[in-house]
Amino acid sequence: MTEPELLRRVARTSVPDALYAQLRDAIVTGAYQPGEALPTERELSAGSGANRLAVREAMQRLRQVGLVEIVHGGGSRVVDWRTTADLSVLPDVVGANDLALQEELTAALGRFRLVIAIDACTRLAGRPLVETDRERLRGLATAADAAGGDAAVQIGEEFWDALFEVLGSIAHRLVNNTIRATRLAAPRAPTRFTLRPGRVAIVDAIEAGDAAAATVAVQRLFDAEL
Amino acid sequence: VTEQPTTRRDVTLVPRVSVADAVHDQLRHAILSGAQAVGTRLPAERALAASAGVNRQAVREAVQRLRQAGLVEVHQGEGVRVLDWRRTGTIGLLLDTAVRPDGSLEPDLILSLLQLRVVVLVDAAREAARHATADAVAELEALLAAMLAEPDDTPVSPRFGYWEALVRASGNVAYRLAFNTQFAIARRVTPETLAFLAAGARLRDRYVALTAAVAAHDAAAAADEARAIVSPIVEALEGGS
Repeated sequence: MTEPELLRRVARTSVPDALYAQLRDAIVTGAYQPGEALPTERELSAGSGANRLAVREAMQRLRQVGLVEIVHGGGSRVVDWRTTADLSVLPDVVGANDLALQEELTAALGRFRLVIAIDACTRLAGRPLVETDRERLRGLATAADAAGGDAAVQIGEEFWDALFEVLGSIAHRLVNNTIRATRLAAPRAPTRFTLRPGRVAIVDAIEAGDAAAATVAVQRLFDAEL
Repeated sequence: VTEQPTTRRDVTLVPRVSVADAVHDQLRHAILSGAQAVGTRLPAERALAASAGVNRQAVREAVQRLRQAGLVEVHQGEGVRVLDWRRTGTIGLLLDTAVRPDGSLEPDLILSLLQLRVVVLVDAAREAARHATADAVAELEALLAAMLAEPDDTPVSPRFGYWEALVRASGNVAYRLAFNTQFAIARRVTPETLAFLAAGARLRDRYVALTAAVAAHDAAAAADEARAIVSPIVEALEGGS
């Protein structure tokens, strides 16, 4: 038996992470408006007590995510991320302390997954599946329908990833990756992502080659309609 | 404000950003091409900085961008692990892989993007018909009027302004972000390719019907009209492959 440790590991947020989170929240909640200049690195450093290197790293992350742009001369200006950013901004933005925004993103991505899922399932219903793909989808659907709690979320995600992989459309798959990453990064359980069973019914419809039944099954799982 | 400090700041800032960009591009290429295999760890920051001849800050920035794009996973004290980008990456990765440097296309990736475009724009039309405000409808009608006023020999364009307004009217922020990526990709292809891919944009009568359906809040008709514009190119490419 090992001795109990004197200290447990302390969860650490690095200084650049903390700065980044503060600035991100200020931007997505509208405290800084699009077009507005952020304080300079020097001002942020003085205001936060962080060193210039940490400030610069936080600013670079804001730029990479697509929340600010570097303007001529080295300053930073807030951009309207809805107009300029890529989907990859969402797992970061959903972490902002803004409940209305979290709900908006959850609804928007729930809708996005509904339509890519219907598209994938109707197209898979129109073509023969190889045996290994069929078994894989059915196995994951059965496991996801039977699971509960966190395991249901996990296996449910594996089911969708497998489905888009079998479909063979990389664009669908990459969008689904962002939906999953945003869902897992959301601070509270998103209400619009359901944990209901119903994936086996989807696989049944695909195997039967019945696109209409597949659409109905997906809509039932998501408790939403086109 | 004098000229001197601005110039000095420019000189230090620009090369530093591009060094991080260059490191990022090399690492991303190594990962996307499989040269740096899934599950392996990248060399330590110090070693990467030394081999690229850059400072560690540039390497750190590059790695942050890879993490943001879903290409690597960073664990404090355990280094940087390469992920399977097909499982974890974001749609922005296609920006650099779907269009070759000469403006030509990777056929499979472009078909996949166009299939996704159909899904997004058809549902955006449906949701716009449900949620568009009077201002949003007026904006679409103004864009349509400008389109109809064009001479017949105007070169075909993808009507980005119109679709951008339609996607905005849908109220779905995720569709807007997906559209932003598609727009960014379209800006990289040659004008000839863009004209080919945007063939459906010739169908001005369809835009008239689409706008009317959104104005009448007829979601089913709006979806049908949008599909009639954006799906023929996908069917043509699917048939040819």
